Amino acid sequence: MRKRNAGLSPRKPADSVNEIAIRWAARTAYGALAPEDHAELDIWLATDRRHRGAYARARAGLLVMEDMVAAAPPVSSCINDNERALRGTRRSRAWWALPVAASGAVLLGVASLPWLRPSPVAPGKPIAIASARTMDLADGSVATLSHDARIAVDLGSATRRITLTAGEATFKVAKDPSRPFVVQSGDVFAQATGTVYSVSRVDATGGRVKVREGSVLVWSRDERDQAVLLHAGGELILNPGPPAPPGLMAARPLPPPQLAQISLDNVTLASAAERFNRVNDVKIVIADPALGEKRIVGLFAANDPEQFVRAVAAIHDADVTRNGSNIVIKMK
Amino acid sequence: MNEQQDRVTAWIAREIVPHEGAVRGWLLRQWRDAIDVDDVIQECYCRIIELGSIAHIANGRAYFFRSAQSIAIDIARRRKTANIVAMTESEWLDVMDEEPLQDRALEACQSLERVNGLLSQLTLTCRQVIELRRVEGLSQRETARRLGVSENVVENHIVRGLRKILNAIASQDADADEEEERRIVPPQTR
Repeated sequence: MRKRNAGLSPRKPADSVNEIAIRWAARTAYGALAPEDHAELDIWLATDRRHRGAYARARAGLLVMEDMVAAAPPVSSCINDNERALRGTRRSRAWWALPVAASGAVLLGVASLPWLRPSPVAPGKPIAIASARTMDLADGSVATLSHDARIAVDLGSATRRITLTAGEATFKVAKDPSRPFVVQSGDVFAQATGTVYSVSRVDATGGRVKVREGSVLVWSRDERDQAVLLHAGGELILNPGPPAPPGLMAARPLPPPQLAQISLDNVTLASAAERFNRVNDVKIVIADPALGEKRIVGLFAANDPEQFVRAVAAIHDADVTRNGSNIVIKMK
Repeated sequence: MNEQQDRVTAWIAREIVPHEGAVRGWLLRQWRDAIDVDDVIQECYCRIIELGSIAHIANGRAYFFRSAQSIAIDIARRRKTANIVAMTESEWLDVMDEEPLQDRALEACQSLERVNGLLSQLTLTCRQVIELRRVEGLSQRETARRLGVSENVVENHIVRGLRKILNAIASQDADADEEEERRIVPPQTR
């Protein structure tokens, strides 16, 4: 395969900073960046403030272009106007097994920059805001966006990640147990596997999650062990506030969810302990069968049974002792 | 790019980019050859993307103009080639317009479309790529496969489209259009 970085070095000496920034922005968002490309970009950005400015401008330009295209009638054969008209009557999505309820509560609007609407307008006459901004995602989920909403979609092989940078969006999530569907709003995360819920931005770091059907796990920043499970009709606002200055906390990429966590969906302590014991050398022993029947909700680090046990002790007022390398919980 | 920068970039796309044409035109009229407008604009964007948060900025247009002016002064001062004239209050009012945000945005939109017919300048492939990637969430490889082209081709169409968009943004100057109108159509006959 031809070495790819050749395309990014300026062919003519007169190539402007803006031109280079455009090519980097396009490659970052729509191309594939090898590690050496990342390094080359970092160096270029670090070299000159104007490079950083031009790059920010180019990335903003990409958003403008995307919004313009998204707001216009689609040109792809797979997203055609006929499909849009039929969407309200389709019942083919059997795997939801949920009634597609009258979406009275779904926000309708246009997720586009109003200043770049492509339809021709008589001078002086305000453009009417168009109706539903609904997006079919590649996994079969459907996102409905408020007029000022902006989302980034990243459907990987292990997780399905949506980032909500503005506004409000409602998601009908296609069932896929092998790939958790996670919506991130600021520093708030909302995860589901097959459900209907909406997320809206709150301030810079927060989010409001409302669940229409099914269950959604919600947590903020690094506190996945304190995740809350919301059920249909439930609503939660989390606003963690500004993060600590970057110098104090090393940025940690989040580990892939299904490897790092055990998610407990109102299960018995006995079955929860069993799950921990399957993956840890340090075993959890529940001394009282009555305690084993109590239930727990939450998202815990899979390799930290002590943390789980502390949570249990706090919630169910239990005693914790060690027996060899095992941890024993019993009622007080 | 991290989430915070994504957020700021989204804000820039909404609140700053629509005014770039006006800021450029104004810089050219104010400063003529004393400064390189591209330099000033790039420095503006650099300062904004470096902000931790943009929540404190109520008026992006005003912020853009003020930043541009202060940067231009710095550059001209370093070059010692221009007489630096401080903006008077009335000149600032001419530049800042008090119309509600929505109306300004609509005017900018209409002007851009009228002058450029921008959407039609994007290639069909470019629009398809954007729809498949951003609207449907396909990966780069899936997009290329679906369209039956190589991944390089996908990227090239985006580069060309982005170049057209940014050029249009840079050359859109609503204030200059108005000035021209005033010259061509004398006030008493309007």
